[in-house]
Amino acid sequence: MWRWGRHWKHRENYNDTGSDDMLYLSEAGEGKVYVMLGVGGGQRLRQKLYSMGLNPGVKFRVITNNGRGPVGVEVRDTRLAIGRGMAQRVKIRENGS
Amino acid sequence: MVLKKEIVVALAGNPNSGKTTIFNNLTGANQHVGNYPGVTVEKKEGHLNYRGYRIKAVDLPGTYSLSAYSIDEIIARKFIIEQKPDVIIDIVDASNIERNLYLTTQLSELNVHLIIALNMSDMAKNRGIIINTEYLAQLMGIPIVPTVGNKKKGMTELLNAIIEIVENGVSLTPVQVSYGKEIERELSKLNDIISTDSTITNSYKPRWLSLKLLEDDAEVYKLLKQHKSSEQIFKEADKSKARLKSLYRENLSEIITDRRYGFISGACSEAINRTAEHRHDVSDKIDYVLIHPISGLLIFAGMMWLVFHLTFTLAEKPMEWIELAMASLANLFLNILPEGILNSLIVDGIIGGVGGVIVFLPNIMFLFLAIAVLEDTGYMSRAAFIMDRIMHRIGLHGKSFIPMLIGYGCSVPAYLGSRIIEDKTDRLVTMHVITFMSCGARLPIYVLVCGAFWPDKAGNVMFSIYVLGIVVAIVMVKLLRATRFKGLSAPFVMELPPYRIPTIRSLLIHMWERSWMYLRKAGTVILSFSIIMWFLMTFPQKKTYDKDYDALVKLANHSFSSEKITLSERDSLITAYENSRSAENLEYSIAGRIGKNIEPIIKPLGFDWRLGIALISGFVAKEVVVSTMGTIYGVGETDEGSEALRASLAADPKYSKLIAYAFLVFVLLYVPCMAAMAVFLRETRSIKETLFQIGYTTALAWFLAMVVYQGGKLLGLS
Repeated sequence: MWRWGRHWKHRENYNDTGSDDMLYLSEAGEGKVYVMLGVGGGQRLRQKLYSMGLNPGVKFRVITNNGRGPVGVEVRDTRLAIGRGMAQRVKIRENGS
Repeated sequence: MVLKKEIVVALAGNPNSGKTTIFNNLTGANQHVGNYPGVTVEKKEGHLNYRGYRIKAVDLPGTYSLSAYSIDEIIARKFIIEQKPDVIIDIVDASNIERNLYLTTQLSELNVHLIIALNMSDMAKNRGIIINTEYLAQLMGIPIVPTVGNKKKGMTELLNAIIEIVENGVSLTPVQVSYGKEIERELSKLNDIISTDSTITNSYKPRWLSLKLLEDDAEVYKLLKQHKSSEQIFKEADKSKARLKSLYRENLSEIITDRRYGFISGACSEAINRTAEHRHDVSDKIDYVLIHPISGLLIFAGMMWLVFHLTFTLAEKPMEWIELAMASLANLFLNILPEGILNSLIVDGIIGGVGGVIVFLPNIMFLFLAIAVLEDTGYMSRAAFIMDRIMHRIGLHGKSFIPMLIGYGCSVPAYLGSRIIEDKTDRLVTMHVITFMSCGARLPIYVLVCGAFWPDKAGNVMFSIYVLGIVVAIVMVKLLRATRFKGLSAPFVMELPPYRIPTIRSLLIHMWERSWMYLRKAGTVILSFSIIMWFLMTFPQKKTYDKDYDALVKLANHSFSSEKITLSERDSLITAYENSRSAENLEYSIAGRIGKNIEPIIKPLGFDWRLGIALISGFVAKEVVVSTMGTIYGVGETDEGSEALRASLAADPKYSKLIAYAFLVFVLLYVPCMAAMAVFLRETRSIKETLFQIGYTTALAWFLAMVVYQGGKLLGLS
C-alpha cells in the first residue's frame, strides 16, 4: 500500500520507479546499452527474468527491437528473447543517463 | 559377489549448460527415459559402475532457479528434497558463469552435497574469461571440477569427486548468501520457530524454509500446512514480511535476488579475470541474419521445408519397406493358416495393428532427428523468435509452428513433436488444434471425393478444405484460450543459446530415446485399439447371406467350363460376388450396425448409412475410409484413384455436390485416428483431455457439415 499512497497524487506516474528517464524495454533502441530497473506486474515474470540474469541494476544491450515481435537482448554473456507483451512491462533506463 | 553400493547422483543446471551432454557421457547408452509422476516432464535416468559403486544418475529438468513458478523448477526441487540424492552435480556454463551461479546459490541453501561441474571452460577461455577454479571453489564453498562436455573431458575427475564425497564426506560447506542485517534477523526468528518442530526439521532445512516463506513460495506454504506448528509459523512469517516491507521500497523477493547476484559478482570479481570486456563473436553475426524480420523469415521457411521433407519424403522408402514386410508376413500367415477367424485375427488384427504402429517409426525418427538438430544447434529458439510475432497474435507459442507444420504430414509425430513447447498450457492448446492441419492420410479421401464430384476443379475444392482447416484452427485457439485455458499462458521469455555444432552421438541419442518411447508407450495402445476395431468390423459374422454366393461362384465356374463365358468374364463375376459378400459382412458387423444406426444423427448433414460406416472406419486410420467405401459400394478394396468408385459415387442419385462438400468438411474436422489418439493420450497423460479432443472435434465436424448442408440447401445449392 505504501507505493499506492506515494503515487496517489500523480497517477500518471504510477508505473514508473520515480526516475524521469525511465522507459520500457519495448521502446528501447537496437544496439544501445541500458540498465535494468525492474518489472511491473506479475511475480512470475519478475522471477523468471531475474533468474535468467536480467535483474535490477544489470547492464544489457538490445540486439533486436523492430516494433513487432519479441525483443532480443544480450545480458551476462547470454541472449534472451522477451515477448513484446512482457517487454512492455520491463522498466529500463539508458546507460549513463 | 559383493553387493555394490548404489549412489544416487542428480544433475542440476541451467538449460543449455551442457547438462544433457554430461549425462550422456556418464551413462552412455544405459539410459531410461520416463516421466515424472503425473506430468509430461521427461525424467532421464541412467546407470554406470565406477570403482565398485553402482551410480544412478538422474538428469533433472534444466532450470534457472528453484522457485515455485514453473513445473520444471518444482520437479527439480521436489526431487532434491524428497529423494535426497547422495550428490548433486551442478553443471555451470563457464562462458555464462554469473547467471549460472544464480541457481548454485539456491542449491547451496538446500541440505545437499554439491559439486560444480564447470562446463565449457574451453569456450570461456576463448571468450577471454579466465577462472581461478580453486579460488572460486573456496569462495563458494563447493568443490569445482572443470569439464568440457562435448569433448568428454573431466568425466573421470567428476566421478572421483563423487566417490570422494561419498567415502570421506565434504571438505567444504557451501557458503550461504547473506541477505543483509534486517532480512537475516527475520530469518533467524523464523528459524527458531521452525526448529522447534522436529517433524519439519527432519526433512527440511529451517533456513531454506524461512527464506522461502519470505519469498511467498506457494509450494512451501502448501507443504508446511500439513505440520501442526504451521499456524504459528505463518503468523510469524506474516509479521516478518510486514516489518521488512516497511523498511524496503522494493519487493522483498527483488532484494533477495539482488543479494544473490551481489554475492555472485563478489565471488566472480575475485576469482575471474576478463581479458576482453565484450567480444562480438560469430553468434552475433549469425543472429543478425537469423532473427532479422525478412531474412530470418525466409531462412525459417527454408528450414521448415527441409524438416517437412526430411520427415515425410525421406521416410517414404523405409515406410514402403515396412509395409512390404508386413504384407509378406500377412501373406505367409494367409497361406499357412486355414481361412477363418484365427487367420483374420492374426492377419487383419495383429499384423495390421503392429504394422500400424511401426509404419510411423520412420516419420518419427526423422522428425526427431530434425528436431534434435534444430535444438542442439541453437536454431530452435531463433525459429520460435521469428514465429512468435505471428503465432502470438493467434494465441500460440512461437514453437507451436513446428508441430503444426508436421501435422500436415501426420498427427502422430506432430503430437510427439509438441514436446518442444515447454509450457503445459501452450502445449495443450497446440495439441488440441493440430488435427485441423489436415493430415496426409485424409488426402486420399479428398482426392476421391473431389475427383468424383468436381473433376475439373478438384484442386481448388481441395485447397478450400485446407484453408478451412487453418481458419478453424485459429478460431479454436481463440475459443480455447477464452474458455478452458484462460490466462494461463507462460511469459514468453526464452534464452537464445550460442550456436553450437552438435555431436552425432547426442543427436542419435535424442532421436532414439524419443522414438523408443513412442514404440513402447504408444505402440501398446495402438495395437490394442486395432484389435478392438478389427473385432468391431468382423463380428458378429453373417451366417446366411442375402444371396448364395458359393452357389453363384460355382455357377460362374460352371459357365466358364462349359464355355458360355470367357475367363475374364468369370473372374470379374467372382470378384463382384466376393465384393458383395464382404459388403454384406461389413454391414452386418457391429461397426456396420453402428454406422446404420447413426443414420438419423448424420441425416441433417445429408449423409446416408454408407457414409456413416465409412466415417467410423476412419477411426482406424483415415485412409481406410476410401477402402471401406470401396467395399460398401461393392467395387472391392480400392484406392482413391479408382474410376469405378468415383463413377459409382458420382452416379449415386442420393449424393450431390453439396453433400460431397459437407462430407469433406466432416472428414477434415472429425476425430483423429486411433493411433493419433493413443499418442495424444500418452503425451497429455489425461483421459479428460483426450476425450475432450475426440468429443469436440467430432461435434465441430458435425456442426460445420450441418451448416454447409442445410445452409447450402437454403441457398438453393445442390
